[in-house]
Amino acid sequence: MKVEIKAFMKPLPMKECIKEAALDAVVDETVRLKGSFVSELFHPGPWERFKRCTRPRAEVELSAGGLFIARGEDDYLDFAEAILSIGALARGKFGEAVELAELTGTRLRANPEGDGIKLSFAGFYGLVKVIKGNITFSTDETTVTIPIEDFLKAEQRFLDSLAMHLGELFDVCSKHGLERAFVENTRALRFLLKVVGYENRMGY
Amino acid sequence: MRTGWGIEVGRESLLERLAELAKTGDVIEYLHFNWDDYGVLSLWKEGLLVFGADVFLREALEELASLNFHLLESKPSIDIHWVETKTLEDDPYRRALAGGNFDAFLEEHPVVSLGSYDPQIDLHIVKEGETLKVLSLGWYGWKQERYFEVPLEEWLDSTTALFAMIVRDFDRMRKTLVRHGFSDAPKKIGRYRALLRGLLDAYPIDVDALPPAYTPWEVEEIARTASELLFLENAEGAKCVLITLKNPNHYIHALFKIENKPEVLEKLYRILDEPYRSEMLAHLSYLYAVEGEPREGWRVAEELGTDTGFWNLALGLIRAGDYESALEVAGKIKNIWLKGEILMWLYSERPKLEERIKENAPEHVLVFIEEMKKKAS
Repeated sequence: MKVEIKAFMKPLPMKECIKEAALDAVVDETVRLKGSFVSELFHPGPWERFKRCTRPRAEVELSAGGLFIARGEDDYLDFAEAILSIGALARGKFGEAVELAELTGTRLRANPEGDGIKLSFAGFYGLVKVIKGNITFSTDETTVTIPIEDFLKAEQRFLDSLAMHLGELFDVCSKHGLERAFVENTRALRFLLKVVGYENRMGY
Repeated sequence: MRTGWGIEVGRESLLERLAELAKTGDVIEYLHFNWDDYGVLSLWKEGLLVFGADVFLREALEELASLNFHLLESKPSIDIHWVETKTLEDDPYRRALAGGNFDAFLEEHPVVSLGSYDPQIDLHIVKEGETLKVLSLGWYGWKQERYFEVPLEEWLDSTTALFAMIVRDFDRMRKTLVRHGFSDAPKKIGRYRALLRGLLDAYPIDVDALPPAYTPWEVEEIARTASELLFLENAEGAKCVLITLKNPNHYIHALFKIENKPEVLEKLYRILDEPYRSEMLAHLSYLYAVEGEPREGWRVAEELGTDTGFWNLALGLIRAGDYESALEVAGKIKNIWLKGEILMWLYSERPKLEERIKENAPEHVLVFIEEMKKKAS
């Protein structure tokens, strides 16, 4: 079965976004109730706002045999993380990932449920499980099953493009002095790359 | 020794930086912000201000640490600039300041400027046994130069406490700084803490007994609320708000931040507890003099009857251009340094008053006038 994972990253309008974020932050910091726990919780600080500017959007899709499992516009990094979570599950390493994530304080987007994971990305919301060499994607309406090796082949191609995209993204961030935002944003992603054993091939 | 400090990075500075970023979109420029630089530092010896300046706090802390390590003859485990040593050139005026102790300053001795903006400002420090002889030179010109002695133990006690309290204030600011994206905050504060730990290892003081730490924005907020209450003529209310600041340093800072007409301020100052009452009333006589009501200033200064009261009044009169009255007030000041400061100031503003200034001037003022004349001719 032909599995395809595609993501077309959109260019980041960094400068405009930062200007807007800074303006919002000024307004918010001026009117926000200082020292209030709840207020701090629901009003992102200026840094959180800048960080959002370094997350590109992307046209993404995950399809198997011409059938779309997920498709639409999503946050590029979130989509990549979802794919990597599935990859970790397919390799039987997701349990290990959860343990390590807890130890290192990394927050993952995928939640373990039973022997599978609950995921939400690009219009897909449901359970992903590994059953006898197949990965099943089940939502309320449908269930799609694809063989693990087909998924892994597609994942491999995606990872190669991911490595390149992350390199590009880092360059854009560092041009604006936001290297740390990149590092913070890609934390879960880099963590999962380690878990699936890909980190040595990242070209940066 | 009493010490004072202020961190001049308030909420305004943070918001201004954000507003600037909203215009330019230049994050690199935004993050290039030395939040630990701007501040004020002051040292008092027995009620007399012996050092007071606008400083780069970062440098002030480094210099203070290296000086104290030098005095304690201990080597810190952390890399630090070693304290500078210099010799002083013989000079009749400086000799007059230090009297018989001046010769000690001709030898090589440690010199610190405690991070002051003005490169002229220096504290020359000679350690003799358990006493420090200090010549405070160059702050705001010749007029405020001073000589004083302080027991080593007293110096170490108060400056270590000062160091600890500044670092704790920074520590309290950390969360907000990180929220604004200044990610160097934990690293910088970490270094200050390491220095402090070194200082405390070499000279332990009870850090837990120090009054609580505050961020500059907390102090601002309290000063603002108190100002608003005072604006509504509610002096009692303003006082109630102010005394929630449990750290004397921040309390005084907040008091000085409150602005209003002198008559209104007087209502507040009068109900304060000592020693703040006297200190602020002395400041009030300055305010009255500057605002063109010297009579009221006289009333307050005479009621206090203290040197600081008259000194403040004289300073205000000089600012207002009333040199004759200032000279009269100077006659009432007993402390030779405070009196000298006023007289030298008067001489540089109005050399014509020379004879009257000399009438009951302390020794160093006479030398000062001679030196000025020599320079002029």
